[in-house]
Amino acid sequence: MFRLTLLAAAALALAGASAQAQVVVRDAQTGQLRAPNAAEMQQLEVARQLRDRANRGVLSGKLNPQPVRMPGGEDSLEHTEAMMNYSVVTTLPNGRLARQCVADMAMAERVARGEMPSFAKSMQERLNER
Amino acid sequence: MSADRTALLRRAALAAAGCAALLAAGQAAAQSTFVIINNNAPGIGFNDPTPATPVGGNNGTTLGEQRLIAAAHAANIWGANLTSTVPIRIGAQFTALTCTETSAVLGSAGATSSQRNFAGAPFADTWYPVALRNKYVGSEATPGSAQISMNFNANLGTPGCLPASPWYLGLDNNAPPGHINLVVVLLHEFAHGLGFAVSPTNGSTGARSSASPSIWERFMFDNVTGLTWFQMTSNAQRAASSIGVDKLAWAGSNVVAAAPSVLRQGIATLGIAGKPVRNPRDVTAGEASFGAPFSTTPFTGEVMPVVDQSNGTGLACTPLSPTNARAVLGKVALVDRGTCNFVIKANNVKAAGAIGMIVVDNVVAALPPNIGGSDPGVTFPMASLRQVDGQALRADLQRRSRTSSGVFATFKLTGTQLAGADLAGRVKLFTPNPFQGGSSVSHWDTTAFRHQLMEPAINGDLTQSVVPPIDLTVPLFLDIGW
Repeated sequence: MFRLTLLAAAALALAGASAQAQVVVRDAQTGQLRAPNAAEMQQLEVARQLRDRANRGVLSGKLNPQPVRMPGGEDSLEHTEAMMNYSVVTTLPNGRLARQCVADMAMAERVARGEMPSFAKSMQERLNER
Repeated sequence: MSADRTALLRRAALAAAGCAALLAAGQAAAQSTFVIINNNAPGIGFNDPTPATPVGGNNGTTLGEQRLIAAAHAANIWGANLTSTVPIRIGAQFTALTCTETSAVLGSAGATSSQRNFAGAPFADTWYPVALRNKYVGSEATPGSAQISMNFNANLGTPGCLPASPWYLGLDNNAPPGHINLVVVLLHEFAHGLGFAVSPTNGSTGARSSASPSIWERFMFDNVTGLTWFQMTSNAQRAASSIGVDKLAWAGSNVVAAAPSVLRQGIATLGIAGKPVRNPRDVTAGEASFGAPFSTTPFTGEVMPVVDQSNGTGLACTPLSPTNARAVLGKVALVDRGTCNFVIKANNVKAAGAIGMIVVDNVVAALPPNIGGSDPGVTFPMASLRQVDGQALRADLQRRSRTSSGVFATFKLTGTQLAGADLAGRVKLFTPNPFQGGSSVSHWDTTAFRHQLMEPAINGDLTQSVVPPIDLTVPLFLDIGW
């Protein structure tokens, strides 16, 4: 329930992510909108930073880079961190290592911390298949 | 540009000059030149001064130097197999990335940009990875700038960061168990940066960047719709295709032509025959991830069932009784799926002297299950059967003695379909359901056999070859225009 609250809060906050945007969260107990507490604000800030990092150009650091018309008429689209391929390794219960590619740094970090299902986990399930 | 950023670029340029010389020294047969731009500050990453002992042909004397030599080795492999007159620059660094005692982010890599409508582009309004664009144009889109970005974990193998699994920095593909072969990981990640990816198209939503397809889309053939992603008219079509499980395949002519020399030909099959068998037949078999693989040399053994359940079936989850052990000695043991994992079953029948194992599914399914698990001590052949096929085999076994059935199973490959390819010989792309971000669509399917460098999970049996008859990565690059 707490996690759902934070997700809802993140969605609301990111919808108005510009500076000075008013941020509200939906209280898990009452279902009502309210101002976030300090811990929730910190979570929102982490989520915002992760999203911003994923959407920054890998060369320029610009947020959400758009195609740029170059001399001669060609277009250049700078890739973002989210377009990189991330590789994560996880130790299976039998001690073997399972490596996998994931979509972005935020996902890679969550897999590495064991916070989300992973391909490695599905490999583990196959190992334990009966 | 900030002062810090300016300093970083200046440092990178200086380091690049030194590394380019390093690459040229070992590159007599190269068709293109890769330049590693060292983005690390002094004292860390590629510049880590920690003394290092030579390992596996890597004679660097510091940790940083060995990392650089390993990166150059991987780059040189690509350089020897791809043609371009324009240097391919890789902006590279080792930094601290997320770790725990049991997991770690190894690193990331990818193209730094995509380009469309450049001079000489084979297709208009189509995104190409910048390194490939440079090959066509004959000059750099942004001179001196990295075309591939790479960032790897500097702390791997240290306390708190998979301490038992450091990078293996040798060049000889001989990583000790538990170590992570940096060269192979680099080969895989560099390939993404060279264009082994659907980006900038979003693989999950099917949405295109600025309304243009990536060159990759022209070769993604969906066996359900009969269309390539390029031909599909909506994001929804592409999104559905991305979770088609085994329906999306690569239609490029170079891969199709090379696949028969790389992938195993034939479907795993059990031939059932013998005097008591009223209907000698071939049935499709499921394969095991351990034990002896199916091969072009058939293996035949007499089948005897394990019976340790009151209904006449056998699970083999515990050491076999003397009666069962006598029955399966020198025979292919027939067991049922369930209760314990396949490795346990295999070891129990192996301990009793069986020479193979057939597992009968315990649920109704369209295909026999894969026999998952790992145990190098199990070396005999194994196969699984659908429940209905297993029941038919049990019926054949009813008139047996305690030690003989007269029913024989032959483990063999039949037909011409390639392992990991569709019926037309197109190699399948990885499209599980649900979508696996970062893995789906931009890798070969995991059913490919032999294993491929560009499968989503890097397998331990990979070599450093990127060409047929070992690997299909270079044929795919030829398809997209390299």
